[in-house]
Amino acid sequence: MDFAVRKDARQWFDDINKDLDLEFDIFYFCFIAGIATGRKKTLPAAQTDGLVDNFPGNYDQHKELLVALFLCRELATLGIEMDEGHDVHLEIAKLIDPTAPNRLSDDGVRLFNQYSHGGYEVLREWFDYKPVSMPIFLRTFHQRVSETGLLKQRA
Amino acid sequence: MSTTLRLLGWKVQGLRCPDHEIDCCTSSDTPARVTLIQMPNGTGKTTTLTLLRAALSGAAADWDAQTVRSMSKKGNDRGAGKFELALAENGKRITVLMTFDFESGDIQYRTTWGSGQEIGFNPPRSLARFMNEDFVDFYVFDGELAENLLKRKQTHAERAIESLFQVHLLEQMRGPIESYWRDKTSSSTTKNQSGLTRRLNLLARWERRKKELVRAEQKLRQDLASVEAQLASRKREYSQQIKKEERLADAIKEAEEHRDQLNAEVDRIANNLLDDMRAPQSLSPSFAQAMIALKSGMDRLKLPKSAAREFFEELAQEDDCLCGRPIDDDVRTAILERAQQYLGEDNVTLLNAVKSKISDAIGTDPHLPAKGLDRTMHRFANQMKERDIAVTTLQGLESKAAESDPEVKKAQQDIEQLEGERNDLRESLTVYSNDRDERPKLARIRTTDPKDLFSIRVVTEGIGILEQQVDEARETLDLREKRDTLLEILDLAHAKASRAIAEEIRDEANARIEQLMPNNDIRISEIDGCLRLDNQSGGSVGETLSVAYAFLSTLFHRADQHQLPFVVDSPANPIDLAIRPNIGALVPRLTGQFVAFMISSERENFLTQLKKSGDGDTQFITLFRKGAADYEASASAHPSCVITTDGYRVTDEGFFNEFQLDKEDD
Repeated sequence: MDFAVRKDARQWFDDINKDLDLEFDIFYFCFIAGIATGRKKTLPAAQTDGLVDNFPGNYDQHKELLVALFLCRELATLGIEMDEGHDVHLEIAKLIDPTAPNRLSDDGVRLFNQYSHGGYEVLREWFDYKPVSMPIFLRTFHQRVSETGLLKQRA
Repeated sequence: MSTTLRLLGWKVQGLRCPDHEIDCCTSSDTPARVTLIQMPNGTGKTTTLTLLRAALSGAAADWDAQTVRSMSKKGNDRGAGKFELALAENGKRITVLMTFDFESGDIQYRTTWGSGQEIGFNPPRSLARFMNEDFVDFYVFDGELAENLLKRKQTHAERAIESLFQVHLLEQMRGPIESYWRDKTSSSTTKNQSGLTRRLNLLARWERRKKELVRAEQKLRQDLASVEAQLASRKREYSQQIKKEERLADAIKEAEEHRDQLNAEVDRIANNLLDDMRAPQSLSPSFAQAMIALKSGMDRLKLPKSAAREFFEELAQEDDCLCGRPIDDDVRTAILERAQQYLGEDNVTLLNAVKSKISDAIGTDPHLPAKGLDRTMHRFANQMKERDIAVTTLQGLESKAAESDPEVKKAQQDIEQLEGERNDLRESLTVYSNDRDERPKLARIRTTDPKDLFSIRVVTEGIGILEQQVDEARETLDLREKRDTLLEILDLAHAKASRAIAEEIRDEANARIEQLMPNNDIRISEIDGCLRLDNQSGGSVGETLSVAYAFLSTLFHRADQHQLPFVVDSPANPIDLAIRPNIGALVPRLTGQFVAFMISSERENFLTQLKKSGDGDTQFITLFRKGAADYEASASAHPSCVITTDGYRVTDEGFFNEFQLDKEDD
C-alpha cells in the first residue's frame, strides 16, 4: 500500500518544491507535525495523491526509527502503556508487516497517512503564510517541532 | 494409408426380419466377391439394410424409443433383440454389436477390435471417415439414394465427392486459422479499421498538442532570452555609470560578491539541514526519548519473544511435548492459542532491527541527536543573518549610487523591472516541465484530453504510448488481412478442387453411362450439389439407378486406394431388361465386395452377367420366412439349410435360381 500526500499540501509547498529533491519530503513534514501533535485526519482518496510504497532516498536508512516513532505515538494515542504486554504485542502485530517494503501493514500505512493528513493542518497553524523560501521554512519548522516535542495526548 | 473394409457377415435375433445369420465368407475370413441375398418382399430387406447402416454408422444411438421399439419382432416376448455385424479392416476383425432393449426403448452399442470390447460405437479412427451417417449411404445403397443424387435440393453427389477426396479438409483448415487469429488478437482492443482510425485521430490530437506546447515554450524562451539580453545590457550600462564613482563602484562590487558567497553558503547549509532533519530522532529530544522508552518497554516485556510463533505452531502438531508428556487435543488447543502471543519469525527480525537502530542512532541520551541539529541550525541562522546584512549593505550602496546619478537610478529601475519580467518568464516556463503532476494521467491516456497537459516531456511520452497502440492495431489489421487472404485462398482452392474433380468425375461417369446404356443419350451435364442431367431434371427409375451406378463406379474407381464393400438393395429391379446385362457386368466390379439384396424377378437378364463379372466367386443365399410351405420342404432337403425360429436360409445356387417367391404374406 502506498503512502499518500494531500493534494492541498502539495499546492501549499509549490514555491519551495523545486528545492526539495524528494516529493516524500512534503509527506514527511506533514507526518512529523501530525506525530508531534497527535493529530490524525481521514480523507477521501480523491483528495490525496499516492506516492510510494517504501521509504525513498535517505529516508530508507531511518525507516526503523520512523516506524518506531509511529508505534510510540499510536500506542500513546490508544492509551496503551508499555507494561501492558498483551495489548502492546497485539497492537504492534496489527501495525507492522515485515514483508512490506515500508515494513507496515495496510492498517499501519492507513494510520501513517492519517498522521500526515492531520499534520498538514498543524503546519497551516504553525505558518502564517505558505513557504516561499526553503531556508526560512526549515528554520521555522525545526523551531515549531522543537517547541512542541511529542505532545501528551489527553485520554 | 489405404483402407480395405469388408463385411464378413451378420447375425440378427429378435428383430423385425427373420432371425438369421449371413456369412459373406466362402472360406475363413475371406468374403466372396459377390454375395446375393434373395429375400421376398416383406421378409425384412429394408430392416436388414437399416440395421447394416446403423451398425456401420452408429446412427441408432440417436434413435428415439418409438423407433427402437418399431424394430421388435412381432410376438417377441423376450423384450430384447440384437444385431451383430462382423467386419474386417485390412484383414483385422471388428465387431459391432447392437443390443435392443424394447422395454426401455434403448440401444446399446459395443465395439470390439484390437485390445478388446468397448461400450459404445468406437470403430478405429482410420475408419471414421467411412463409418459415419453421411458416408454410409454411398456404400449401403438403395433406390432412394440414387434418386437423391439427382434431386436439385439434395447435395449427396457433392458430399460424396467431398468425403471421398477429402476436399472438405480445405474447409476444415478454416478452424485452426480462425483460432490462431483469435489467440493472437484476444488481448488487442482494436480489431477493425474504425478502431485504428480512432487511435490515429487520438495520436494526431496529442501530436498537435505537442506542437502547440513546443511553439509556446519556444516563444517564452525567446522572450526570456530577449529580457536576459536587455538585463545584461542594462547591467553593463549600470556598471559603466557606477564606474564613474570608482570607490562606490568597488564597494558595490565587493558587496555583491559577498552577498553571492553568503547565498551559496546558506543554500549549502540548507541542503545539509534538510538531510539531517530527515532523521526523526534529531528533530526533538522528546521524539528520541519516546523511542528509547519504546525500546526499554519492549526489553521489559521481552518483546520480541525469543521463540517465534512458528515454533509453537509446529509443536502443536507433535504427539509429545519436548518434556516428554503427551499432547492431547486440549493441550494442542492451548498451545495454539498461546502461540498467538508470540510474533512470527519475520516480525521478530523486524522488531530486533528497530531496537538495534534505536540503540545505534540514539543510544541512551535523548538530547544527543538533537544537539547536532541544533548546532547546525544555529550556524545556519547566523549565516542567514549575515546574508541579510550583506543584502541590506548592498541595497544601501545601490541607493546611494542612484541618488548621486539619475542615470544610475534609471538603470537600477530598469534592472528591477527586467528582473521581475525574467522571473515571471522563468515561472511561466516551469509549467512545461511539470512532469510529476501530469505523468499519472498517462495511465488513462484514452480519456485524457491532451489540452489539459502542459508538460512537453509527458505529452511526448504519451505520443510514444499512442504510437505503440497504433502499431499494435496496425499489426492486428495486418494479421487480419493475412487471415482473410488465407481464407480466400482456401475458399478458392476448395471451389477449384471441387469443380475440377466434379468435371473429371462427370466425364468419366458419362463414359460409363454410355457403356451401360449405349442406346440412351442421357448424360450428366454438371455436378452442382446434385447430378444434373442434360436437358432434363430426372430420368426414369431405371435410368436414375444406372446413372447412380455409373457415378458411384467412377467414384470408387478414382478412390481405389480405399476399398469399401458395396451393398445394394434391389440392384436391377427397376432397370429395363435390355440394360440389365450391362449393369450386371458393372456392379461387381465397382469394388472388391458386392452384396445385393434382391427378389426372384430381378434375376432375369441380370444374373448371368453378374455371375460372370464376379469371376466365379459368387455366393447365392435365399432367405424366407416360415410359412411358405412349397419351399420349406425343398429347402429342408438342402444340406446348407438353416432353420431358425421364424425363417429358412439356404446357401445354394440351384435353390436360388428355382425360388420364385417375390412377396411373402404377412
